Amino acid sequence: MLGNVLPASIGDAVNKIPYNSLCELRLRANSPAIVNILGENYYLTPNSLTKNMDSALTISKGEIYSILNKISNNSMYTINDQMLEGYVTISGGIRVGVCGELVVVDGKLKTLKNVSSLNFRFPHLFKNCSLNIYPYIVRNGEVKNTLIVSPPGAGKTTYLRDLVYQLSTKEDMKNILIVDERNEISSVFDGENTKCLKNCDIYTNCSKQFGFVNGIRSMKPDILITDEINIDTDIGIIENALTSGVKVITTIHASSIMDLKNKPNFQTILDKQMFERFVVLSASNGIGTLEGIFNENLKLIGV
Amino acid sequence: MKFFLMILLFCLFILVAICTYLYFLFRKKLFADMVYIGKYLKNNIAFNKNNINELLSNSFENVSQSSKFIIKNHARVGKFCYKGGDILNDFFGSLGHGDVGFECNNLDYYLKIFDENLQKSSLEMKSKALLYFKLIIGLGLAVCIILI
Repeated sequence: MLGNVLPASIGDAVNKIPYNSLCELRLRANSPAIVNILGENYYLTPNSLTKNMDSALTISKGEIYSILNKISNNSMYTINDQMLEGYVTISGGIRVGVCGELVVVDGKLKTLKNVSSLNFRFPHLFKNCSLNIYPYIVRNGEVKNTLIVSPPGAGKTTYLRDLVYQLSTKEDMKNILIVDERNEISSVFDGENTKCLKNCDIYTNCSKQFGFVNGIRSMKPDILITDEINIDTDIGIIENALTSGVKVITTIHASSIMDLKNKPNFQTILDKQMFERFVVLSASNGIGTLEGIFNENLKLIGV
Repeated sequence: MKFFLMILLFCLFILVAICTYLYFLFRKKLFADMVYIGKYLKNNIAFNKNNINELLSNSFENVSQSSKFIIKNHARVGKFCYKGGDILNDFFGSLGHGDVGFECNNLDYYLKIFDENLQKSSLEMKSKALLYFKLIIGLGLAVCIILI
């Protein structure tokens, strides 16, 4: 998958790692390459993974620029907007975090230059991983408005992807709208099992504002799925969706319900009972550990 | 035998005359096609942000065969152009390195150069191409007559 993007030495080394265990690949200019295998960091060498950095592969700044060039298919303008968000999504739903120097012109972000770090995050389709929460989210054909809560890297997007798969196969008469802002949810299905999304309409590379407002108006969904909402900026559009009769399933960054309660606008969500289910995940016992399922009053109803 | 060689020589002059004429013709076509490619790229990059490789492939559908050959071998046939012959190399080397604003400004710059070259080559087509063709044919005839 990354063979035509990464430098030969690093690409060959990464290809030796089973994809299912590969979580992250970090490349920093003139520093050793690091891979994350199931939550554990290792230095990458040509033939193995090690905790010793002496024999690790390194990458130059020129090679980092070359990777970006290949990612963009020699068309940097196609990824400039994404780079200003801090990441680029490539085929297969792989998110490449980009770090460097911001160029600001007249107070506006123009571009990112002197890129010195890349972080490849690999999505995985763990089929049926969400079956343990599915009965709490869908009851007698009725879908509950659900918020999946987890810290970064704990598996909420993986859960969401599987929920899309489960809903698409089990609730095939319902219209599902996926507002896939960063092309991470649906792109993992690309080229494989695309028939399982036969009742899904997908917006990619669009803002949630556009996806929610225009999507509800034009695609008339029964269920709307999106990733990583921001309580401060997205609460209005979610409320509008819910009052339009659309069920919403989404995710949010927080380590626990307590952490979520500390977010400024969360009380509004509770008072209006916008979400009927809160699913809390963590990485305490491996990625995707289910800490609990809570109802609209934050009462624990399942583990 | 002598007659045969004279015919052969005359045919050679005709070939040179045709090649000279085609040189002016292909150069004019090249710049007309480069203006088209530049405008096509600019419109698509500004509105759709499709990637360069895809846009170039699509634009090639409406480009003449001679221009396609020259563009594909631009590193080797740069002398075909004016101003030291580096324009095609510079143009293709400059694509895809910036944001949309940069790309459009860059394309505007090269469109201006291609347009100037197109006007020059159109004038030469009218004035020099036919003249050189006739001169070379005439020279060929003269050489044959002298040899007789």
